[in-house]
Amino acid sequence: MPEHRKGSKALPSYLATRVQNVWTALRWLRPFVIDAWIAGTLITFVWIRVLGSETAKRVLSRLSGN
Amino acid sequence: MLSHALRVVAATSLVAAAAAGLGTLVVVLFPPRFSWFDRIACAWVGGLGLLGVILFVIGQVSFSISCLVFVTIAAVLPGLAGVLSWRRRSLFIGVSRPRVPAIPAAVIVFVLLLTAVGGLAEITGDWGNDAISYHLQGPKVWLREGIVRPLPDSSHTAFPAVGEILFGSEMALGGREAPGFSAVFTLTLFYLIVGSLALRSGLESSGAFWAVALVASMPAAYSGMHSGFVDGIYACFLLAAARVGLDAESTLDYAGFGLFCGLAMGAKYTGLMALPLLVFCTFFRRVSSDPGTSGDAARKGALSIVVACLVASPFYLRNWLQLGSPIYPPPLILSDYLAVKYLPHEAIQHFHEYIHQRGMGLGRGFFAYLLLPFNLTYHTSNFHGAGGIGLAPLAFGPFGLLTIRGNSFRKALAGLALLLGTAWFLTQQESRFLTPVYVIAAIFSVLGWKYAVQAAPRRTKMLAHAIITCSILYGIYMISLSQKDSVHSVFSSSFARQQAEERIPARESFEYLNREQGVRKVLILGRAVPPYYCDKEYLKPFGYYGEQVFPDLPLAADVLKHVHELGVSHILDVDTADSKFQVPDGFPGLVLVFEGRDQRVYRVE
Repeated sequence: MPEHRKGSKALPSYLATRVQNVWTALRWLRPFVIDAWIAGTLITFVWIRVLGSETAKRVLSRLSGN
Repeated sequence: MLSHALRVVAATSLVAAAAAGLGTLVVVLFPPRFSWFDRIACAWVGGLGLLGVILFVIGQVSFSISCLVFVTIAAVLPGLAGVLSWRRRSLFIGVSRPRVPAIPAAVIVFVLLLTAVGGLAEITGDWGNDAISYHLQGPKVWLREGIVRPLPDSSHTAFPAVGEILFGSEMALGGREAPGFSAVFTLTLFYLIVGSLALRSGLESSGAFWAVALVASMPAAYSGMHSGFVDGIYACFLLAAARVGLDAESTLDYAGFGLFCGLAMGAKYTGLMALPLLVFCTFFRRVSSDPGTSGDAARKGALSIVVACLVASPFYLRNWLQLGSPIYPPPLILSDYLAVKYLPHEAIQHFHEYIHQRGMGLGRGFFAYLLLPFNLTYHTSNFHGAGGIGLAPLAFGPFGLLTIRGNSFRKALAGLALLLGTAWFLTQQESRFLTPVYVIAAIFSVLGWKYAVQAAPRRTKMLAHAIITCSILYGIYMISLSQKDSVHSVFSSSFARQQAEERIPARESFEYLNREQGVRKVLILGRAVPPYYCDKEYLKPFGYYGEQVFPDLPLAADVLKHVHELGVSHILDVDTADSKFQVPDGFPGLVLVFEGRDQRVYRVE
């Protein structure tokens, strides 16, 4: 096969390998992304709705003696 | 107390039986692939809606107690005949019982019990409470006058009234507290429809139970279900429309879909906006699952629009004939061309400004739109959010959306939620109006929960349990808080009395007017005084939203000049934040017969 034809075939296969690698990495990362998202939702909830509530603020200010 | 509770329970049960009876007539309009559970859920909702439409049409001629009792009992008969027939009974024999997971079932039962007990308390409030200002005010006057007519002093009583008509029949059968207790029935129907949609979305019975439990513990969804609100009934119709429409294939199926769309339009004006969105989603679903059917789907979609318009037409035709506009108060574009009764042009403008202002909710603009899921979860107290929707939709919803690939039903359902949410965002951002979207979000939450646990089984299971626990406990806490006073009122008459004193404007005057034998007809001058508490005939020349009952008498002084011609026996004058006392001291022909704090009652001599 001529050299120029060889190169044009190699490029898609190279890209396919890269895409496959990225896909594998994403699949490997997926559980961590899911955990991070769910944990983030929970932490934000505790931050805003529980610690940020008026009751929590009153309790915290009493505990700190103010 | 017990006899009162029994009467209220009996009234709700009779309406539920009537709805079931009429429901047997609409079963033929459901797709053949429906399970017995889908049929029961949709038929019961359809029967309730039909009962509302029938009573509304009959109410244009007579809305007397005897007429209501006759129609309700007559509506029970088809159901009774169905149950007694051998064929029907054989339908339910051999039906397998699903496994009932304990925790979600406990959540559902707790919310139903709380609503049942809280629903026995009297609904109280001032003009700011929609139930007092029109949802219950209209039915009370219709029952007293024996006919359904929009009240000229309260333009909102001209809104589509499937829910209000049902409140009227419950009031007639069970007394003033019956509409409050009927929330148990509305919630039951709502949970059945949610369960039906969840099962169709691919969840197993335990998953469907969890979806219902998530919805049951959403304070924002709960807020429109009880205490005389009609958002729950509307949500039932809309979700039933989605349930039937997204599986519709034959002409009869599309007629059933149109029926539910029409009932939604007959329950709230927002149903008008939902109709094209529902039709589009059913078209999309049909075409994506069977590409060669676009022509057929379009034709049958048009048929469903015709059916929807026919079902809702009594409400809009009545308004057109009696008030001058099918939508009343009319939209600003129409108000330039249509002359409507009782509402001057400025009042219509003010009304729309008020609606626009109130509908700002979580803000306009693209950034606010993108932040909607976050704000609906965490910052619902910033607007009329009533406690939020819990954590599960934000935590699991995005993963639930990953499961739509290759499932046209889920795609259409997600698309419907997106379209309804966008329309809500662009129009009036009142949280309880978004209840159908919250339901779809809960279903996708459970789908996402399953997906997440499968994709990352180790830590995610624990985190998911924490999310569900927080979501449900927080929701139950907020719901209990909202029902705390009602439940306390049921068990303590002194607390009930204290609540009435705090919440009912001009309470002492209303008690005087309701008690005194000589009071025939009361002139109520303050525009923010809710006539719901007046058991006698009344006349209110000025409505809260600028309604003018007598266009020739634009001021209180003008009305007072003609007080003898109006045929009133007493005048209620209240000093409120909106208006001071209207009757000048020593006005000729009037005798002060009662005076309380910021309230006076005059007898017309």
